[in-house]
Order: sequence, then structure tokens, then C-alpha cells
Amino acid sequence: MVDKVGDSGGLSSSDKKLYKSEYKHAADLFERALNEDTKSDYMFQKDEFRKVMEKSVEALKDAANALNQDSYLEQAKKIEDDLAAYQQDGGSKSSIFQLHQDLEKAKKLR
Amino acid sequence: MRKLLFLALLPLMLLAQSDDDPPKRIKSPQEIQQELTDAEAELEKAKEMFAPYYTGPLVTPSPSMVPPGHYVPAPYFYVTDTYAAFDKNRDSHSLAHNRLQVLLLPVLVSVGITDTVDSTIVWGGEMNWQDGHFGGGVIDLSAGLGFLIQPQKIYVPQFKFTVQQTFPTGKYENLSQNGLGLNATGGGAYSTRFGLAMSKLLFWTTQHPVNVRFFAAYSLSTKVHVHNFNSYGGGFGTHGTVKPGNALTLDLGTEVSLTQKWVIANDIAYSASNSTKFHGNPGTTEPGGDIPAPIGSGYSDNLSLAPAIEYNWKPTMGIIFGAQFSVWGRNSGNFGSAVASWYGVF
Repeated sequence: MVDKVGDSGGLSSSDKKLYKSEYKHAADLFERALNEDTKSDYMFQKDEFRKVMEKSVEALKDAANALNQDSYLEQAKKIEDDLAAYQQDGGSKSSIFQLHQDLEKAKKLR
Repeated sequence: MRKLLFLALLPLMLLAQSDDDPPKRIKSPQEIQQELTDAEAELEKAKEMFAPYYTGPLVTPSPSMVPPGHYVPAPYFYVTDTYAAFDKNRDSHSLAHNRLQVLLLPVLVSVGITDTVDSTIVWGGEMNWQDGHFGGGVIDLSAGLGFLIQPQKIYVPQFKFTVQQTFPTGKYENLSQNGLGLNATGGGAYSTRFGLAMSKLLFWTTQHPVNVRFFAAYSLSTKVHVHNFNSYGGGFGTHGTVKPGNALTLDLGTEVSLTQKWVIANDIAYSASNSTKFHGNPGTTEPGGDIPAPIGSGYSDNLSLAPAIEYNWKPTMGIIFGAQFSVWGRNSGNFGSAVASWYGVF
């Protein structure tokens, strides 16, 4: 994957570092909410975990938009799509696996 | 012409374009950090949430469904002291002798039939004491079906429709001649009650979730042929037909979780009944006398409260103790009851 040339050139290196750190923080928070959601069978609690996941995705997208790098933007989009699939199929094993894979990738982006 | 049209449509085209593709505002790192901090706090709060256990308040029926193949016994025990009576002007007058009643409902069992249909059977017995006299026996049996209308969702209450039929298995005529009606344990009528039960869990993100139930029902009864002293009054030589009044029930139950297992509950219970009419020979108050025996009654109602405390060992088993006492009424008893019940899902 090739990042756009000069795409986040307007950002200072310290801001760039902050956005990247927040991106990873959002992915990590998402993963922790996902783990709790899969453990719970209480409808009202699951709804709260899903709200955290949705907020984490928003933070991922916000950080990716600020960085304006393809790798970050595409991974955020993948996670957003994974979350939609997870919510639609009621949390199947395959959608959980896909989410974990994409979250791990997001955390390893440079 | 084409140019004019273009100029006329230009603002609309620009507006449409801006709606499709709104410019994205880049958030500052501080804003994103704040969002993440808030979401972290929400995660921690969600982790502390628990599924509250409820036995149910004392009075208001539940719209819960018994899973198919399972049954739920919920025997009740009541001790009631009726110490006064509300007259037609809603004034309470003390009785010359308190009436004490022990009501046992050992048979209160719900059975799951399908995911959306269950059934309930209620039967038991009562013992009554007043002025040194005693009477009692089995009460009317009732059996019914419940139909799930809407299961509970995050923001949607659960609704259930119920139909309960009462069969006259209790004693209702040819009662003891002391006129106290202590061995009147039934109404003699076939009554059908149509009910709508609702419940909703509120404040589920807090450490003290609240479960609210509401129940509304209307019941209609067949005519009853009565002789002598009976559940509706009467005396020596009474014979005729009674038409019990249709009855309305409105209950509002609230349960507040202190912890997952300990719960305080309260019901506000209201019941009202149309006048009960009699046609026939009312009989007399004394054998061979000429004073007609009173029979039938005017419109009656009663409002009572039922505070209670519950302990639930697990989501499928709990016990509840409490009281129920009348606070307002017309042509009805002014009473206080001690109530206990237990339930389990098997």
C-alpha cells in the first residue's frame, strides 16, 4: 500500500505522532469492548459495549482523516465494515475473527 | 433560455453537491483524545453493569414468558386483617369485629407451551375468622393463557396479552346462617378476564436498575343462581339470580435493585367493580321475619399499596416478603395484609 505523497504534510511531526497514537488507542479500545461484548449475554450491557465500539470507529476515522494516509484510511474503513457485519449477523465467529484480524493490523500500522 | 435555466438551477446544484459531499472537518488531537477518554469511561461503566434479578412485585403480574418445556411454581401466602370498611362516600368505618383471613395459593403454576404462548393455573384455599366464628374452604380455580405480543428490546417494553377463566369451585351459597360469610370462598360465576401486561427495565447503566410493570385487565362474569346466605348477601329463603358487576384492574409495579440480588418493590393496585344486581326473592334476615335480607352491592373500588423486599439467589429463583394495605376505597374492605411468595424456574 502506497501512501499519498505529502498527504499529511500540513501536520507537525508531533501532531502526526499524536494522531497515530490515538488511532492505535482507538483500535485497542475497540478490541477491549469487543472482547467484553462477546463475553456478555445481557442485552442492555451488550448495547453499551457496541456504543463504545461505534465511538472507537469514529475516533479511528477521525485520526485517519487527519493523517490522510491511505493505509490508515483503508484500515479504518475495513473495521467500520467489519463492525457493520458483526452487528448484522449478531456476532458470528467469522465476523469476530475478521474484526480481530483487522484491529491487529490497525495497531501495527506505521 | 438555457443560460437562464442554468443560472436558476445553480444554487440548487451547489446545495445538492454540498449535501452529498460535506467538507470533512479535521479534528484536533485534543478533541479525539477527549472522545477516547469518554469512550474509555463508558467501557468501564458498561463493565460494571449487571443483569438484575427480579422475583416480581407482589401484585402486578409479569409479561415474562415461561420457556417451552419449563414450569414456574410461585405459591403465595397471605394473612389479611380487614379492620374497617369504606362506605359509599369513601369514609372508613371500623368493624365491630376484625375479620382475619389466611389465604394460601399453593397452586400458582405457569407452564411454557411455545416461545410465545404459556399458561397459568391458580388454585388454593382460605380460612376466615371473625367474632369467634370460623369458615373456609377451597377457592375458585382459574386457568389461563398468555400470548407474547412484543418481547422487550433496549428501548421497547415487553407486552403480553392474557385470558384467564375462573371456574366456580369455591362455596358461594347455602352458607352459614351467622351472616358473616366466612365460608364464602367463591363467587359462583364463570368469569373471564382479559389482561394486558407490560414491563420495561429502566436505568440499566446505573448500579440501581429499575423494573417497571403495568397491568390492565377487565373481567366479565356470568349470572349466578343463589340460595339462602351467599357470597353476595342474602338470608333465610333467598333465591334468585345475581349478576356480578364487570371488574377493572389497574396495577403499577416498580422494582428497584439495591444490588443484583436484593430488590425493593412496590405496587399501586386499583380495582373497581360495577354494581352487582339481584333479581328474585331476597329472603329475610330472620327465619320467618319480614325484614328483607340485603343482597347485591353498589359500585365498589379499592386502591392499595404493596411495598416488599425481594432476595433472588439466581436469575431463576427468588423470594419476596411484603405488605399490602388499602388507602382509599368505596363499598370495599379496609385491610392490611402480610404477604410472602417464592418462585423458581424448572
